[in-house]
Amino acid sequence: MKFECGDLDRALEVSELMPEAREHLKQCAACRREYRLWNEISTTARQLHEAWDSPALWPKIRSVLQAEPKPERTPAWRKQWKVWAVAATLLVGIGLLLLPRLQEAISTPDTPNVAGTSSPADRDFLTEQALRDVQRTETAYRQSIEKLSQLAQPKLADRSSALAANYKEKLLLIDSAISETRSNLDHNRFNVRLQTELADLYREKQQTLQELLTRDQKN
Amino acid sequence: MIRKISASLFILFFACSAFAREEYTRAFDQTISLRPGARVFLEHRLGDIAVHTHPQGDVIVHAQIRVSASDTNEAKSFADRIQILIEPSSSQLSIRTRYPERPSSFLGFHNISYFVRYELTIPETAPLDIRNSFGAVSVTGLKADGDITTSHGDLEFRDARGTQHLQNAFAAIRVTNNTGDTTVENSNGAVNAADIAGALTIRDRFANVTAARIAKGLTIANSNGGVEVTDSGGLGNIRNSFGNVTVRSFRGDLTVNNSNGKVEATNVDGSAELNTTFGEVRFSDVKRQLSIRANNSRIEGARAGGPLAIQNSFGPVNVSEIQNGVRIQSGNGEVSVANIHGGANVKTSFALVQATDIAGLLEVENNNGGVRASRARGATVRTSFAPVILDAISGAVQVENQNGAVEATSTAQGACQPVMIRTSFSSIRVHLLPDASYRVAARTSFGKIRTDFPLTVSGSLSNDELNGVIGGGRCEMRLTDNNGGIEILKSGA
Repeated sequence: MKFECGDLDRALEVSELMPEAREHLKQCAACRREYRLWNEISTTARQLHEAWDSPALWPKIRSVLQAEPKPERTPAWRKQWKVWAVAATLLVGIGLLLLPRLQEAISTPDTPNVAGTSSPADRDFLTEQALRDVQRTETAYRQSIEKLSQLAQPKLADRSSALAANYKEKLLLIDSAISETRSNLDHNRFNVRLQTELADLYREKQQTLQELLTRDQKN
Repeated sequence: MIRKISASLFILFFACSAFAREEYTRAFDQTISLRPGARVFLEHRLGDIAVHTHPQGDVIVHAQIRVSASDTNEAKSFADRIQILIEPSSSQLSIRTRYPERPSSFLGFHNISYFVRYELTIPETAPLDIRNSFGAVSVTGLKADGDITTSHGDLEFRDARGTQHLQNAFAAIRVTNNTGDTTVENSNGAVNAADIAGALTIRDRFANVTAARIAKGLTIANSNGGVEVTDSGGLGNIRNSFGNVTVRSFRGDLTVNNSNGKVEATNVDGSAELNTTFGEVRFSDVKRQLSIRANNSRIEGARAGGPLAIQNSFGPVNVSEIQNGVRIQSGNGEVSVANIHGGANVKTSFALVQATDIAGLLEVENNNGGVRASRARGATVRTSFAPVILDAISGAVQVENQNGAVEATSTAQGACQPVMIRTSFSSIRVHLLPDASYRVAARTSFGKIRTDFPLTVSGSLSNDELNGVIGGGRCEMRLTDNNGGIEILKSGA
């Protein structure tokens, strides 16, 4: 069989064809470029892959399964409802007392409590509430982007398209920046600049995926 | 019961206290004398840097250390552990930010946030080197070489003198008013350069690049973003892909290599080479020679010093007002040329060729496409399966066609201008001035030969062959057809 450029994709899947592919690569610059790109993407993809242990997951499932057939028992908190009712009433009271202060903290979170230091006009740090909102939004964003990524996969998998290669490169670049920013955020969660940067990166990734999908529809 | 309520309240209070946050700000100020010629080096991350200059010889460091934590003590404790290291040596003054490895307690690990914001005032003649990340950098008034790198924060550099290297990622770079060569590298961030009295080199991708008033040439390599250059000079070299390139008012020779994007060049004082694929090419007012190489592109332009050479396929070409002639090689695309001062050589297929006001010889090679020309100093045309209409040709006419009509109007006067036309399965019609002077040899099959001119005929007369003389018979006219009629007519008759 005479090995041609079109056979490269199959050779990447069927290892028996690789010796012929290597011979062909020695003479074909275009295929060498494609092969190098494929290798780079594979390497980067492996680096991006994350795995983690969840030792608590199976015991949790098992305990839920074991608990299921048992007859329903009155939960302990129902027996102690009087205690919780008093505590909840007190919490509402405390909440009402703290609310104005909390609102103030959210609206002007930058006011330093050290005399003699100037307060910057821009917001530098998030409040707890703002952080929770940001994290909730981020989760929604990530889910939406994940869906878009899945939709874009067939288009991105087209190795013969220069456009797909470009988008793939851009998405890798954005993913690497997201990873770097998240790593910084792990130690600096309330830092507004880092949170804004992460949001911008997510937005850019979303726009890139949308652009790719729209372009696909136009073509 | 009371003990249980107390325990619950304790938990609730603990939860409430976990939501409260306090901020602490510490200022760092130091003034250091810098040895003449020594450079200033700042290594930093997480925070903006603003650099100003002054004529004095000392460096003034002002840093604002900001920390947010669950309580004031924790914030203060962490802020106190952030170090600003100042290390003077004979050749440079180093300023480094050192953040604590870990906050003091595990519980506080996720609860502390921080950054440091710098304001430096340095001697204006001190070379500057900055390494930053996750922060904006602005530098004003440096009168020495600079090397500035940051990421995830805008980089602004202005009013400087010296050789500058500026680098960023995921944020913009703006450089204005530098006397000296400037190199800018960015990724995923726009670049905006203006008023550079030196050469400019820009490397970027996935973002737009804008350059204005660059004095001594520019080299731009971008991808996946637009490039716009205005009012600049020197040697221009622009490479791009998946984005448009626009150049306006360029004083020098310009080369643009683009792909999958439009190229537009106007007011180029020197020569221009404009290449692209899958994108339009537009030009106007290119003072010297112009070369365009494209694929699947529309090419349109006017006014070039010429000569103009175009290579294209699968797209129309429309050019006018070109000095020193044009040479166009296209395929599957219509070609239109007008007001050409010099010859016009056009090659295409499966599309119409139109030419008007050609002050030289018009040469057309076409396939399966018509040719329509008017006012040319001679025409040599070859095509098939389409008509050829030539009007007001003042020079020689030579047409080879197949399965298509030919109509030619000659305005030749004075010197001998031969007329040679051949076609098949369609008619030949030639219009001549009343004082035309030709030796006519016309032959056809399955058609008639007709003429308005009085002819002196030699040999035998037949419907499909004619040999004779019009006027003085000074010049040769050969008309050959198959399955079509031939007419030799007087212009205006």
